[in-house]
Amino acid sequence: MTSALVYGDVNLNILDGSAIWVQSMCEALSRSGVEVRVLLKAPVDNDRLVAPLREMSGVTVVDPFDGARTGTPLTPAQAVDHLEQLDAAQRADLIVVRGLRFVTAAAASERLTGRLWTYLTDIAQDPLAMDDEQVDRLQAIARASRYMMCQTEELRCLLESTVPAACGRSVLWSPVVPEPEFGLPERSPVSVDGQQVRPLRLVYTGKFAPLWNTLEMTQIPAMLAAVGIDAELHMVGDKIHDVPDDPDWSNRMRSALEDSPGVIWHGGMPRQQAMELTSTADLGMSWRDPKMDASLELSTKVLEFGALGVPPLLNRTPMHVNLIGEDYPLFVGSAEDIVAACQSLIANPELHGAACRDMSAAVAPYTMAASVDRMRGLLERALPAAPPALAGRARLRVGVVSHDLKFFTRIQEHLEALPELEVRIDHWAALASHDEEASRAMVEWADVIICEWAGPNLVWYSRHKRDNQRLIVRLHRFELDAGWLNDVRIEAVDQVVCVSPFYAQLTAQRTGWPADRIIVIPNWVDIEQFDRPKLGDVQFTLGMIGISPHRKRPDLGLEILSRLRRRDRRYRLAVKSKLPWDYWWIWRKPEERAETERLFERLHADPTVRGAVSFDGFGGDVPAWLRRVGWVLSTSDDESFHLAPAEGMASGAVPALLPWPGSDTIYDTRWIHADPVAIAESIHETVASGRWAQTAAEARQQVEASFPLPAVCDEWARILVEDLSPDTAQGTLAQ
Amino acid sequence: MTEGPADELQAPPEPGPTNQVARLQHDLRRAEARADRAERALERAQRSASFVVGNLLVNAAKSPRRLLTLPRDLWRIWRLRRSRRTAPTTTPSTRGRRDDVLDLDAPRLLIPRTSVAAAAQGSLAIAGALSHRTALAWAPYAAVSNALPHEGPALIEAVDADIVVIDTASALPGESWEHLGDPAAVDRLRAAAALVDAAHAQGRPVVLLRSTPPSRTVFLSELAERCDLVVDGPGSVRDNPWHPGIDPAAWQFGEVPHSASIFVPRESRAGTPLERELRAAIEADRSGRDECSPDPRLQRSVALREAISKASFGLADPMWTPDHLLGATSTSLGLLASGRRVLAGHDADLRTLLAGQDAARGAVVFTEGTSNVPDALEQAARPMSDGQRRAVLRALMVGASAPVQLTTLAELLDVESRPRAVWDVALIAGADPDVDQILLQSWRPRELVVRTPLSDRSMNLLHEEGIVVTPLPDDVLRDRTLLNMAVTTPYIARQVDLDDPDAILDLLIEQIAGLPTLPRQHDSVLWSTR
Repeated sequence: MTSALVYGDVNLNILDGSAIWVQSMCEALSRSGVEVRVLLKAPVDNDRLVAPLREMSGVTVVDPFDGARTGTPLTPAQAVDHLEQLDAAQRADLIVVRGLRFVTAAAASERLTGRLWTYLTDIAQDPLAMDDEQVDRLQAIARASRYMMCQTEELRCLLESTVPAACGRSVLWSPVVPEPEFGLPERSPVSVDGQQVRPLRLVYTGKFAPLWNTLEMTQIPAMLAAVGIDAELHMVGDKIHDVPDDPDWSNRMRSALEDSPGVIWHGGMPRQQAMELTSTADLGMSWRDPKMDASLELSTKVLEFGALGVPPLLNRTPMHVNLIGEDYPLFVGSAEDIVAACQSLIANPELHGAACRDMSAAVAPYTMAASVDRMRGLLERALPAAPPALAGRARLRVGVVSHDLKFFTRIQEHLEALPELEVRIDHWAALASHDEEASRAMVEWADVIICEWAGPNLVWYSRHKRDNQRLIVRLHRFELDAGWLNDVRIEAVDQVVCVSPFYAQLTAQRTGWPADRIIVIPNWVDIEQFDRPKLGDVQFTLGMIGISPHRKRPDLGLEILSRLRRRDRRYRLAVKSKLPWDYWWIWRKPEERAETERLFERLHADPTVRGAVSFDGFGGDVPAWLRRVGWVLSTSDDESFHLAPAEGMASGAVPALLPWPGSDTIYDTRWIHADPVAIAESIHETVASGRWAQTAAEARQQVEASFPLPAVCDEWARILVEDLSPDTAQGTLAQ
Repeated sequence: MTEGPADELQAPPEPGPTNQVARLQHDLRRAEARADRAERALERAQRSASFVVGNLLVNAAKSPRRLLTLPRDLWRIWRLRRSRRTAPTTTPSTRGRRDDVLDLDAPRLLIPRTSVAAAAQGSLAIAGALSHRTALAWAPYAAVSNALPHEGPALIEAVDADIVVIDTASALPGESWEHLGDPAAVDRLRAAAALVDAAHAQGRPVVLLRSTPPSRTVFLSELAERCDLVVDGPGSVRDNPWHPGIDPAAWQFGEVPHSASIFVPRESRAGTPLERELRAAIEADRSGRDECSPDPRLQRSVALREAISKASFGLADPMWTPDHLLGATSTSLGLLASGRRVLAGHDADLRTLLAGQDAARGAVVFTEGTSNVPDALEQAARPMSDGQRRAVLRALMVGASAPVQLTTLAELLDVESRPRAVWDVALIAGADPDVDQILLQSWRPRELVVRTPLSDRSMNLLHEEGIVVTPLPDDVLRDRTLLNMAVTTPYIARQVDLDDPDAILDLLIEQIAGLPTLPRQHDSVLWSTR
């Protein structure tokens, strides 16, 4: 059974957001079938929160204070010690931790590193406010983490763009909305044929403070009465803030709660009771001072309104727009807006239904059931089940040999996570240089050798491997032009893996190697990492990933853009790439310089493209960047696979390729066009006919079927022990 | 994820034995660390007052224009020192490997040579992240260089700008800084911060112009901290109002059509409930009037002008501006400048702008609710009278025109430049001019040309108000060519009826907006000296 340790660095005697998080995390783990040990930070002086934890199936509360009701809370160092001891007693598969101070300490633990699932909210939320020290600290945390769990997509993007090691490890872990312990009531309509038939019920729950606009809210029923709407505002809560700059504010607030017409003040209430009252209202109040608009955190109150079927009136903030959508009808910015919204609601009851539907859809991912699904997905990926091919076998020792594992990282992670395998790396310093002693030790140790890239590493291992040792190589593209393949002792190689049927066939032709050993396992696409909401209307934004060297043909991308902009000036091109002068081996070539100068000359001189191209830099944060892209271009002269279109498809963009050799053995011919004119024609026709979203959805389904990471990983586990069929090198990968 | 790695493999493998490679790699790592440290030290040095002052002195030695502005530049550096002192570096600490950067000059290819606007002596040079609309409004009155996100610092270094502006409207969909302010687009924010750093290294002030709704600028608070001045334009909050102004000349489309077609902006699709209510009421009541909306396929400001040129009146954008936000958007002002009435729900700033001109008041028809929409539509569809149009233009010229507003901005930043000088007028005074009347003009002359010396009191008064007095002999006054050469302003007015406080302004409006000359009792005339 999977075993987890949980430590939230939070005092569970106090009910607050982080304590609720510990509770919901334990529940999600427990409901996912994980055995949980949750370590307390402070002695238990009331069991309001600890008791429900103890009642959860499979959850053990570890009290380092042995039941004492007083004592000093654990320091981060002490907590790390306790976790290490607990892990030594029974190894945990995952260690879920929260809070920057503690997580920093945990990341330094050699014992815990690699198994940490870290959740951070207490970090600078503006990249300009992050200094080098903070970034270095987060970088260390990311390296020690199996997952960095982010509360929102925005926080994930911030981390990925600032902390390179967070790329590929950052996953969403949204707040969980509490489930009501009562049935939701049926509400009668507030109006019939535009005539109000009962009072409109508004509800506010929470603290009373200036930034929460609670004083202004108390005037709303009177303002509504002035326009002929009978309304009551139910206000729940008993914490009235003292305002140092305005000492009389709390008195005015209290008087307003007690005396304002239409306001019914209920005082403080237990949470479930407050939720029950809320569920009887027509509208929730979450209208706040604009100063509150800049948070990257989601308000659980808003989510709670949604879960209770009560659409809230709330500010149009980026987070709310992302949550509910641009067209949600109850965004407000002033008391007058609230009055107008209520008038609309009376005149058009369907508006209420629409708002309810918008909110229900918005909060669906935040329910406990959705969180359990998400947790199961994370567990499956971090702790994959043994593939059938490895079942019942002795533990297999796998050596991976490469000078560059960039294309192998996820497969490596997967193999390392399988308990049936032990994985070691022979990391070559460069393509042709290695520590021969280390390589000989690898030959002695491993049952299976994987050479990532068919470079001199393959030559060496094909000549030094043991007879009973399995040798697998993955060949990409450039190796075919290198001279060293003649030196490979091919009879020592069990399987030659290519990433596309075209290159498998080309490999057979060029090398004369036995065709029955050449098979295809496609490149992987981490679809879940790319599955993120787009930023606004992206159908006019083309994207290119990697434009150097010139054979990537950025000039053709520019030509496509130019043709599109002659029809519609909204088209733009975003480029995620280093530039040619950033690669010394490219920039030293006169022809590359000349092409680059030509490219920029056109960029500046051609009015159809001038100002319409952005160079967005280079980095691992491609999934975050693809959120702003609607089309991914692949205009290269040649490629072995070109992941960019596939990653674009996974992100919800539409691919558009030129017919580089072999493209049709990887991608559906639907996405491959004869020339830039045809690409531009197809893009514009799709956008102008309003079919972009549908086409993007179809592309996404296709990439899911063609190159899913789990299937690719399974194939890699299988090939360790059995030969795959050479039939894989025929036809096309597109499903 | 996908980028580059395959290409990196094309780098030839290092020759020689393994230990040599290891030693070279070791040396390389050390060199990288040294370069990294040196670069951080350089960044710190470039932000230091000594470096910035030194830079200014060097620039002054190279350029007469900068020599003239040097004292003020130094004063401004001192005055604005706080923002520079508090700003940490924007260079991401996640530096990439530098071993492959060979040609440090190559990134200059990014800079569009043709779009770097050169400033004439005395004119204002502005560079930065500008929306197309803002750049277009300012271009006739300042040397405007619009930077793209990837070229910001390089452009700032290449352009000798007086002011660097980050206009949040440049982050709107379709604009070149799209996504700036979205927390998911960290690279854009960093690019904007790099622009600020580059400007500060040159000793130039940076203005953040918030010209979009607060929801689009809430995540720019840290960037705002680094800017020398934050101003709020239409759409933003009422913290530090400053209108970027419009170019009245750009909104003249000739005769207003009688087709009763209505201009409907498309931009505030996601408005407030009040906005939607009003839009729905207007849609229900517009009774067969054709709708002219900007063609989304065209560049935004081009489309806007084209649509307005076809309409006989238009809806404000947005229809309802709550009082905590700033109104009088350039769309509404453009409609008014073009001689079209505007139908608005509520907009306190539009009301205020026109309040000083009685005749202009009906140019904006306010509904203040949905009940009187049919009447309001009728009123808005009536053609503006000539007098009303002139009154509107008076209000716009004085209160919301680009050269006037840019002059205010330059004053706020202690930048020695007067963009409104393009509309400066020399007034040829009659005998014994009434100086008080001259000072009461809504558009005061910059220069007063006199035949005979004025009294000391008059001279002092005029001097205090910044009006230059130029005595000229009769023969020069009679010869327009000589007169044009003798004055320093681009316009000369004579025979002006100073009893009318708007006399000079009206003459100027006729020139700028191309309106027909009104028959006047005095043979008032204003002409360009250029």
